[in-house]
Parts: sequence; structure tokens; C-alpha cells
Amino acid sequence: MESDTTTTAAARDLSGRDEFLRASLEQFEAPLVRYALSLSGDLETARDVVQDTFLRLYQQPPGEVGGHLAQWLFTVCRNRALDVQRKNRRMTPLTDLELDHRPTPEPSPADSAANRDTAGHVEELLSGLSLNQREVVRLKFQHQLSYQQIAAVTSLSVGNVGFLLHTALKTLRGRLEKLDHSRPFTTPL
Amino acid sequence: MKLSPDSPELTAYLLGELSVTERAELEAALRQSPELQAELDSLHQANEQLIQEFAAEPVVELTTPQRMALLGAAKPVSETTEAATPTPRRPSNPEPSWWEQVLAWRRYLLGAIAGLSALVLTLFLLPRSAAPQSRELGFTEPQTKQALSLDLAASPPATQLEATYTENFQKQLVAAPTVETLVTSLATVPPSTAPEVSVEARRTTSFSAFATPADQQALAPDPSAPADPKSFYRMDSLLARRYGLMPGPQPPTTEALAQRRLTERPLDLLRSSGEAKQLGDNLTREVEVLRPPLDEPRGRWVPSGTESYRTLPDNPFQEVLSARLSTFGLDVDTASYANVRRFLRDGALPPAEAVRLEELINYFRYDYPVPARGELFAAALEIADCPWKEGHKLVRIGLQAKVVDRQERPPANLIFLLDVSGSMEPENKLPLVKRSLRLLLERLTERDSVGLVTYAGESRIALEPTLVSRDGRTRINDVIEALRAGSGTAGAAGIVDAYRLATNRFNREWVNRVILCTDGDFNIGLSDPAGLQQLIETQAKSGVFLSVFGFGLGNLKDSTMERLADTGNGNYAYVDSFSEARKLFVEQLEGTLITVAKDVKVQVEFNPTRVKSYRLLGYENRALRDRDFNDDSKDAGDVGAGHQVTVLYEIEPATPNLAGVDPLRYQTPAESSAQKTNSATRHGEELLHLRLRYKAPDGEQSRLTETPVKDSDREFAQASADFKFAAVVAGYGMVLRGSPYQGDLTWEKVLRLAEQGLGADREGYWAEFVDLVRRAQQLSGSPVGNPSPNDRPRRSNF
Repeated sequence: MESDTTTTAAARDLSGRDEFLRASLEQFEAPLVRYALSLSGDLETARDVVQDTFLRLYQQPPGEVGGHLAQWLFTVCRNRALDVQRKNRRMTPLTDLELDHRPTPEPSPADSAANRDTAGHVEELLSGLSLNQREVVRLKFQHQLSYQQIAAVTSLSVGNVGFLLHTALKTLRGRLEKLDHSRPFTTPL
Repeated sequence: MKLSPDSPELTAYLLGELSVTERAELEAALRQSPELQAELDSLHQANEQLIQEFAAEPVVELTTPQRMALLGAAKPVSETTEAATPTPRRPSNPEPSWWEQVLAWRRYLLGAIAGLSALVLTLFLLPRSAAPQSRELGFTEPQTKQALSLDLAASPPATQLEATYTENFQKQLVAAPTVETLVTSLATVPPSTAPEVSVEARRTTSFSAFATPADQQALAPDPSAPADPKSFYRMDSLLARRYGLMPGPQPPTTEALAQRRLTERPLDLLRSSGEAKQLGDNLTREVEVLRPPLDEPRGRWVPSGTESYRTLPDNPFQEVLSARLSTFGLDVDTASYANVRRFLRDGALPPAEAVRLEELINYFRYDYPVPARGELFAAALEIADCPWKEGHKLVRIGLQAKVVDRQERPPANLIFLLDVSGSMEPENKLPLVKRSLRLLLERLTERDSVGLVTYAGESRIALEPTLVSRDGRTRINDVIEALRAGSGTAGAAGIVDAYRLATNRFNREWVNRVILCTDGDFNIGLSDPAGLQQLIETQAKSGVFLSVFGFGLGNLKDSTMERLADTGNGNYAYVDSFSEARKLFVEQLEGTLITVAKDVKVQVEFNPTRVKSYRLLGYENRALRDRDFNDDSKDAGDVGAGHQVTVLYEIEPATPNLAGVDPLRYQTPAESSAQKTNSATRHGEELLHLRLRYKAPDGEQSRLTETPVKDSDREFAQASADFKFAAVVAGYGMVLRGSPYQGDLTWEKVLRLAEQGLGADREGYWAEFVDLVRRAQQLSGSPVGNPSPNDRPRRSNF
């Protein structure tokens, strides 16, 4: 690259990190946004939360996070999402915010909710579960975290996680059987 | 544990969360209680369904500006860039960026401090050319700017952005020149500007720290183009994939880049994503909705994903009078054949760069005579007319390495280094690795030991070296079974641990080997390619060799894998199916495991009275300088027990009146001075002289054998079945590459020649080959007529 001959050792270090950060973004961007969305309910918020999460990742000293990246990211994301939720509850809704809201190219929340409903039955399936169960189920079946990781992320015990998953699966089993598969999907399978 | 249909252990078992002992307990209980089994089955069904439902959810991601801001290597894009860059996931954003700034400002008010430090950090992450040519973004509030931690002040316009990447990308190419272009560029241009001249001429991959020995030698000390690992990483996966800036068959000019983005098939881009399975079918579905289907026929594969190949032009014809010696290193790798097969079976023609003639030919077994006892090699030579060029001849040199009997095989000390990243989840990756391992395990005996190290996911030493005794076998099988593709990244365990384990059990008499199985992820604990190569080289010197097996598609770092295996004195193969695994781990086990000769080099001297010009088919990336033949410090390919190597030359015979034009005393160095006086007459009938140098696996001194070869006047139809087959395979490779030397070959002709040879099929590979030729013919869409080199995307070397 341009003035390569002046590469400092620090920059060289950063470049190894560079790769790591890009790879982590690549791998975890979508899962984290999905996870944050499930926690906060709003896509814009979810996106901001995930952006903050990655910023925090970038600030970590290298090697700190390395071995348990998934766990770290999900934990930080969760914490941030819950923080934001708490703050939002305290804030009075400003009409300015709505005004300033740029028309996004993405479908509006109403549309995306509709999309979600018709494109998959997950929301419907999960509606009967407790909050904890919902989160644990998503972390397991959508993001393939292990019991240990889920326990770390949610601050529950491993045994608790196992129990929650087991009861959730049993409930879901019943719902899956009763699922209305006649409803059309908007996107072709 | 007390087990009932209500036990959470059932679910834990389904999800792979139980320990080995717990699993055994549960399985025992299952066998005794059909009620428990029924419950498990229904839970399993629910599990499967649930996973599918989750996979059906639409994918959500960051907005492009957010992502780019995070990547820190680009500025917030204007609309024009958005429009020209079809991020296949969403239509472009028509809004002016000023709104975006305001909105973001509000949100980041809270995080201003964190933002400032991120600003500093992202400045570091910028390409260093961004001493900002500031183009104001059009807003004036200073506090807005400051709080906009991620939006940086300077932003080169969209086209400049592309140009920067193109430029950077091309600068990378500088570090790994090919021998030919270097020769020309060094000859015509002063060294300091050599990189500029040769930039057009090349496209190659990252990891060019693995330039061949020939390249490294030929490269004049050039301070402006060091092998800079950083730049390769930067251009590798992420950005390159997003912006379609992957190496392709054309030099990436700005226009070409824009053009490519517009015509790139989004499904390929997505399908090749490592996480494709997870985000899955859903992603491709979404794309099909958002973009109209492109109506280009399914033709040549457009480079996407993170596959990478090294590109070299075909060996040209060399005049004997000016290039009397042909020197190259041997290659027993067969990856190219399997790789090309994978492309064809998936319904696409492979990129020309993935087709290596020598690997196609060497994939098959021929009937070569076995070397005598005590000898390492035997050479079988045959000459006949060339089927694709009137008047030319084909010379086939068949080398057979000594065979080691199954019983004679020394004990093996094997350490498997396995990629268990998330991308290894598909059926043709980690599950296939597991099956292959189990297959190999069946052939190992009590004297052998196996260890397992995983990386790129749950990085750990999965199994300490364990003897393959009865109990050991069970234990090893259990560990193999428990391997899971996980969602981790850069791990600490990896190649260093693998080598450590191998060294702990090292024994000079044994086969000591690290076997790397991956789909292309190389975060094996050493992120620096030069350091990695150094490690492998040192270990190989001390006797622990490295073999590399590539699995899956979309992320295959072909050139890197070959380079690593080469440095590690092992072989590189591509395992695309279970039958390929069987071939490598059962039928050719000894070849896979035992290296009988290291650094094998070939040198052929042609008799100018007989040969006017010659062309070596294949081995482009094995070329050596003539004087490297005798230089033992130069690395070359390694040959395993029982391996065969076939070398084909196409020669243009000298017309009789050429004799006498030159001082044509045809001499070989081994002749004594007394013989020299007779040499002109004695050797006048010979066509060529073959020299072979190789080292014993634990030796550093090379040995030399020589064989003169006489001509034979045989028509192609009279040649042996093996000869004909090798020729056909070479023809197939040339047409696939769009080689300018394919003569009058068409797919029709190749198919016809191939079908003629079917009679002598061994082990069914021949029939499979004919099938591949048919597929290639269909895919090239030209049942009659020659897909002439002019129709193909041209490489700039020509």
C-alpha cells in the first residue's frame, strides 16, 4: 500500500487486529442485530446497539476477547440493549424524534412486523414462552451458542438454561404440531 | 442420573451438551426404555422443525453506512456509490446524508466520549493514504462533527474510493510476480519502477509471501514492494467480498470493477459466504425478491467469495537452440482435478487459474514399471504423434516412486489439525472430515498414534496422541464423533500445538506428520504468513511433515494450501467427496503418509538435431532456473510412496536440414572426455536426456539419475492406452484453460478421444472422467466448434 515503508510496529499490530475485527464483523453482524432486535423490538435501536457493541470490541486490548468472542459479543450486546431499554422507558417520547426520523429504505416497522409474521412463524411460536425462555431459545436454536455460553451471556446457571430449554422445547413441540402451514410465505422458499 | 421422559438431559443430549459419560448413561437408558426413546424422537423432530423455522426468519443487518463506518476504512457513502454498489441485501438509500448525520448526532450524544476514542482508533485503521483530501460533507455544526465519532471529516469521492482499492489491490500484486513477467519487466525497466510496469501483467492472490523459490530469486531487491502481510489481509475476505474486488481473470481496472459488480451474480456472492448455511436459504430467497433474475446463462464461474487462485500463463514453446534445458520441480498434488470436478458437478466451468494440467494428469494411475529394489524411481518413456497438432509429437515421461508395502509401513505419528469454524458446518466439510478420519483410522494399527487439535472455533487439543489400540480406537472415534463446527474465531491453539504434540512423540524411524484439514480458514494461531511459513519449514527440516487437505467450496485458498504443503514436504489434496477420501486415505494411504523423496527436480535436455522446439504441459508454478537444478537449497515437490508423476512435452521435431546449422555437439555432463569425441554420432539419435535429482526424506544431499531417450515413430493410435489417456486428460485441461496451444482440439474431439480409451478403465475413474468431459462440453455451450481462445476472457499476459 501507499507509504508502506514507514509501517510502524503498532500499525502492523493493528493490521492483524484489523483482520480480526473485520472477520468478527462479518461473522456476527447479522446474528447480533437479530439478537438485539429480539431484545429491544425496534430495528433502529437494535442497529445502534450492535454498532456500539462492535465499537466496544474495537476498544478492547487485543487478545483479551479472542477465545470467547461469541460469548463476549452477545453479552455486551445484551447489556447494551437492556440499558437502552431502561433509558427509553425513562425518556418521554419526543415528537421531534419522529420528525427527524428519515424515511428508511427498509420496510417500516409495521411492514417488517408483517414480513416477520408471514415469512416465518417464529414470533407466533415464541409468544407463549416466558421472556427468559424466549431468549434462551433464540440463543440456542438461532445462534447455536452452547449451554455454557448462554449461561454466561444471560447470567443464568447452566442447569437453569438446560431446564428452560427443555420445557421450552416441549411447549414448542406442541405448537409446532398445531402450526398453520397453509398460510402463504411472502418470499419464495 | 435419574432419567424420565421429563428429564432436561434429553434435550441436552439432543443439543450435544452432554459429556461423554453422561451420553453413555443416557444411551444405555434409551436402549432399555422404549418410552424414553419415543420421547427423544419427538423432541428431536421438534428440534429440527424449530431450526428450520428460525432459519426462515428474514435476515436483519446494519445499514451500509453503519457497517462501513465500523469498518473504518471508508467514509459515509454518497448516494452515487450506493447506487453503483448493489449490496444485494437492500436497495440503495436515496436520502441525503445530512439527515443521517443529524439523526446519528442525537443518538451518539451519549456516547460522545467513547466516540472520540473510536475516532482516534478508526483514524489508525484508515488506509494511510487518507491524509484527508477533505471534502466537506456539507454541514457546519462543529459539535455535530465531533460527536459524529464515526463520520470522519475527509471523504474521497466514490470513484476515488474505488480507485484507491484498485490501486491498493494492484500494489499487492506487486509482491508476488511471476518469473516471466519479472524477467521482461526487469529487462526493460529500471528496478525502481518495475512494479508499475508489471502491475498490468499480473493478478494473483493474497498470501503472496508464499512466492515460489524461483520468484523470490528472480525478484530484484525492491524496497518499494516488500511482502507486506498486512495489505493482503486488508484486501482479503471482508471488503473484497463486499465490493466485488476479488482477483478475477481480468485486471481489475476501475471500469471493469464497476462492470463486474453490475453483472455479478448475487447468489454466488451469497452462497459462497462462509455463514451461508446459517443465514441460509433465507438470504438467497431475499435476494431473489429484491433483484430481478439475471438472464445470463450459467457459464464461467465469476470469482466471488473468498476463493483464491494463483494465475500463471501456459508454458510457451521454447526454441531448443535458445533454451536447451527444461527444468522444473515435481508435483504430486492432485487437488486441481478434484477441484475442477467440483465446479463441473456444481454446473459451472472452473476459472482457468484453477486448472493445473499436471495435477489433472497425475490424478490417475498408470501402468508404470516399479523401480528395482534399492532404487527410488523408475522412468517409463513413450513418444508418439501429437493428436492435436499435425507434425508435432508428444513425449510422456512416467516416473514411478518405490512402493512401500502396507506391512512395511513404519509406525505413524499423526496429528490432525482440524478447522472447526462455523463455516465448516455443511455436509461436505466437517462431516466429511470426520468420515475421512474414521476411514483412515481403520487402516491404522496399534503401532500408530493419533492426536487431534482443533482451531478456529473451539480451539483446543481435542485429543492427546493416543495409540490406535482397541481402547484407543474407541476413544479416538468418540472424540471424532464429538467434533462440532462452532461459531468461534481466532483461537490460541492451533498449529503450534499440533507441532508440539507431534514433536513430543517424534521418532526418526517413524512417519511424523501434521495433517491440516480446512476449508480455507488459516487463523491457526499464527496470523503472519511469513512466520507460518517459517514454522512449517523449520518443522519439516526436523522431520515433522505437513499435509494439507482442502474441503468444501467458496473459501478455498488453493495457492496457499499448495504452498504450505510444499513447504511442509507433504502433499495437498482436495477432498470433495467420500470416494475421494477413500482414494486418499485407503487406496493411496502409503503415498499420503510416507514421503520417499524430497525436493524432486527434473531437468530435460533436448537434442537440437532432433527437436526444434518444445513445450512443457503444466508445471507452470514449478518452474526452476536451470542452475537451480543442482542447487540443493532450492525447494521442490515431494513424492510419496507408490506415487506416480507424469510429464508431457509437446515437441516440434527438427527438420532434417536444420542439422549442421549450429555447432551441434550434443553432450551430457556425465560423459567422460573420451566419450565426447563420439557423442555427436552416438547420441545423435537420441531425442532428449532426462535428469532427476532428489533427496532422501531425511537427507540434505541430493542424488542424481539420468536416462537418455530415443525417438520412436509411432502414430497416436498405436501408443499405449496410458499414453493416450494422459494425452486426452492434458487436452481436457487445455481446453478448460482456453489455452492458446490447444491446437485443433474441440470439446467434441476431446470427448471422442476420451470415449475411445474407455476400454481399459481401472477403478472407474476413467468413466468418471468421460462424464466430466461431457459436462464441460455442455457447460461451454458449444457442441460443435472450438471455443477458441479468442472467445474467452483474455488474460492480460497474452
